[in-house]
Amino acid sequence: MPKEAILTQIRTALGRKPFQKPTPAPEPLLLTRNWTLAERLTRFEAAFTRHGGRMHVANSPVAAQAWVSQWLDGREAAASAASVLAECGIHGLPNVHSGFASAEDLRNEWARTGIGITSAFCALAESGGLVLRSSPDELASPAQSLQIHLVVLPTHKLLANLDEFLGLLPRPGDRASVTRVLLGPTNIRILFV
Amino acid sequence: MPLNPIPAQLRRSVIANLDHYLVEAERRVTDQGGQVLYAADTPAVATLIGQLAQDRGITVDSAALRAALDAGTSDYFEPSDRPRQHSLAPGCQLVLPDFVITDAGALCLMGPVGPLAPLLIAVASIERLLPRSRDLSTLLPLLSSTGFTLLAGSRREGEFEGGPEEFFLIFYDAGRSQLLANPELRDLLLCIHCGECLRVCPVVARSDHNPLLPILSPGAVGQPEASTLCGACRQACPVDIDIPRALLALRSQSATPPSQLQSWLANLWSYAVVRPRLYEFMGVVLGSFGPLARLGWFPQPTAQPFRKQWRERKR
Repeated sequence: MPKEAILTQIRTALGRKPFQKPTPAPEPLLLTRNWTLAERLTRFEAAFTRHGGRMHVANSPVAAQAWVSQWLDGREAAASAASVLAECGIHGLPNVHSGFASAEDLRNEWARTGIGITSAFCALAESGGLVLRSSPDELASPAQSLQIHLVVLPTHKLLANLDEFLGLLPRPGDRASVTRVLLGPTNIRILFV
Repeated sequence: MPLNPIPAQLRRSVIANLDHYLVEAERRVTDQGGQVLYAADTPAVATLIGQLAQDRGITVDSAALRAALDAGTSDYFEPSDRPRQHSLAPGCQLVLPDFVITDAGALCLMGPVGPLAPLLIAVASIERLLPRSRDLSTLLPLLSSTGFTLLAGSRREGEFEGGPEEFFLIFYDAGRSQLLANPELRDLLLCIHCGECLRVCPVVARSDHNPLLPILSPGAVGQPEASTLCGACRQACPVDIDIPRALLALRSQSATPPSQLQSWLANLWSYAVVRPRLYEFMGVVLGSFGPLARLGWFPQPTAQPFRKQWRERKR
């Protein structure tokens, strides 16, 4: 059945005319939280740990680099091109491979090393969720192919909840073809800088 | 009435302006690099998918396609376990979105979604629309999930890894527009497939029958007569669907009309049952046919009618 036949049936059933304006939809109640960073970190850790993840905090990019180096303990890892990883000097660590030309190359390296280091678009304190978006330097779905996954994220990207995310980015599809929100069980480690 | 009225108001608003949101969703999906097609029913969807794949030199496994469409569009499924992503052939995937978000031209898929194939075909029934992305904050808390994915068109230039190279969205009707025309059943289109009605239904919990199938999957042949009409589903429904009323409407639709003789006998019965003396007389007359019970046409009547037994006991 072509489009017009379906639309005509719908309009006949509803008593509407073509190009008739819609009645306004009710506004969603976006729940804003004025939490401090410390409160956000505490709440995120509680929720994220409940999902099976682990959270760490580094006070500076240098401390973050030192933490990653110690955590790797000589093991090899493959990192995405996220700018926060470069800022922390993680790309410069001897066992960390980076600068992949394609997503396939990066995934192949992950399959070899078993350890991946990426960033995320933001984190959600209330639910312990992570938001991943496709971008020029990040994969949209790294978590599923990784056994050991470390996410490095600046603390200013820790939002209160999904409502804050949707308030800041009312149309998440405008600049990225894929946006993922992970809320469930995870084996991800997250390092806030 | 649910504690939070906004989900029901939101869904009612979508259904009341469904033509507008369909046209708007098509415009936005096209802006995002996708293409929107329409189909009357699921066989037409399968034909469209077959053509799209064939035009690109891809041979689709028809059994896999039928299974995927059945799982997502017509057969009963546990909403939280509904598979959203199916591989039809190397380089070709089918996805079944939970919502199509109008203002973003994006699909919302609950649960895990793996890497996407270069040719991605999404299939959604016409009522699965939401006006705005921020409406997710209203509905997502009602859906138990480990997360969700928003797919907005084809892969953008410069993205390291993103959406598909080609993206199609097929809207199918499958009787939805007819439901819209029926005031008693229109509310079925409000369903967001949260599964709350299934969790509280005593019939689903204690038997193999599922009276809620035609509620979850409009147009599906179900067993509305299996419902006890206890109303637990209505109390649990977060979008305020009057499920018992819809089940009654479905029952009356599926019931075969009585024959003239059945109607005449029912009228006679309703006339007699409110006139005790006539009713008793009819009992005596019918009791005189007792010897015929030996032929096995009907059970043997008791030796004494109930009314006579009652009078004797009172004495």
